Amino acid sequence: MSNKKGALLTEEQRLEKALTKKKRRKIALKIFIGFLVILALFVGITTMISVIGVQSNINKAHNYGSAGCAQLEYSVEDNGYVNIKSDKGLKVMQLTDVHIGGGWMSIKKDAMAINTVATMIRVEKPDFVVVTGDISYPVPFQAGTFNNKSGAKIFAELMETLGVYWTLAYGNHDTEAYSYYTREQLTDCFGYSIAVR
Amino acid sequence: MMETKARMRAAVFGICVNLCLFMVKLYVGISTNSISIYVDSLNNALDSVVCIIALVGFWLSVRTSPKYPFGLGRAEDLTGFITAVVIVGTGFGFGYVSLERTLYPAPVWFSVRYAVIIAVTAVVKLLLGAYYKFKDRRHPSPVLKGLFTDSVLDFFITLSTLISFTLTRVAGVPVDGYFGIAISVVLLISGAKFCVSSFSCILGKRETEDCDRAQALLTAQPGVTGVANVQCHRYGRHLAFTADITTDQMTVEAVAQLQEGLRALLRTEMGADFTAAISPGTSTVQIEQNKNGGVTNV
Repeated sequence: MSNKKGALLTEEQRLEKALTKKKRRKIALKIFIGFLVILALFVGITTMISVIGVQSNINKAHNYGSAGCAQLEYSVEDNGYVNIKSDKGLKVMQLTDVHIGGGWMSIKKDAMAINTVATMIRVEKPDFVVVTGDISYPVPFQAGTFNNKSGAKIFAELMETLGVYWTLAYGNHDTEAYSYYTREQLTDCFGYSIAVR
Repeated sequence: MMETKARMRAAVFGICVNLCLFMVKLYVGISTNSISIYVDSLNNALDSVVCIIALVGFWLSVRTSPKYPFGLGRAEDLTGFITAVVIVGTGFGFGYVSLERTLYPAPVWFSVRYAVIIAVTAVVKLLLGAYYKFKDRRHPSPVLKGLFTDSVLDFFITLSTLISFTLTRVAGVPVDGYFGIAISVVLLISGAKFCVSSFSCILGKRETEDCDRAQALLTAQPGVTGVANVQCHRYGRHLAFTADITTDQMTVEAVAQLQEGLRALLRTEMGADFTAAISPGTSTVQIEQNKNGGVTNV
């Protein structure tokens, strides 16, 4: 039996072809499993680093202690307006785009952002801080996470420790379309830190 | 194959230990705002990457392929060079961050608990070094030697970060930043040294020791009257020698037998391939250095 184009294959050739196919499938399966294992390891390790990074930044925020800002008297009206009483006028600090990533890729940058905010507040000792958006920055290719709550949590802990009145307006990065949490859920996370809102 | 598996196991162990050390030091470094501990943590992360590269190198070095008749042993040198470049780059990065810290000092919060944790990580690194040394004695490899040296160096780096961490309590200057710079300099020097040695291996540095040993073995054989131009070609752990041999054997059969004998000798004594150009002659062996650095008879 010849093996020209269109002619029948010999038994031996068929066996060899089947073996090659089986071998190829086996190699493809090995590559696929290897890829899955590497992906799982990568996700697992980066998640662990993210958790450690966020927790250590929260610890760091705690270490600053009180900034010694004046605790002025205030009252909240039914419509949500806040009246702050002061005899010497009000010292307001505006912060914007703090951009705390809260992921494994932004641990160092987050630490630097915390340092900067803490130093500014400790030096200036404002009566009130207004954050005009983008506390969180859960952009995956810069922060390595979709979790927008981590950054918010770090910032809330810092302001709580510094003991300064503050409020915020949400920015586009605080709640990206792909982020895990909505504005309502973030507001719950801030708790009484932004009860004055 | 067994040797390679043992080396690969050592590399995997190194990856796990360094990753754990990295996470612990990262936590302490960020929590206490200590730049030197943070830099040290990244150094451990880098060590994990080095172990991954070594693992790939070990795996590749035993692969065979018809496209590469001498094997893929040089992959080990190549991975070593990549590692060295990464270390040098990281040294520069760390230096910059530490310099920034000396110019713009930030508070460092000391805690005995954290100091103890750092001391424990230093001991772990020393034990890891001992493990590499033990593995290298049983299964010699330049990569394992490098990992041992790196681990001992890291032990001293961690020790110095511990000292700087403790000193920040009493010192009024940013000790932390200065220690960070010192660590960066150590990293840069060790990275540069590693870079030069691995690059010269890739370029094809002369293996003087191996050449001399082969020369001595060949010269001592009966029937050999002269040995010249002994050259060693290294492909990872695989060696291949070439040499010009003169012999007092005059028949074709005797010369063929001599060639086979020499080939077998180098295979058993040095695990190397051997190709010889044999010519009849009765010259006595006088060795001198030729212009290429090889030894030759005159």
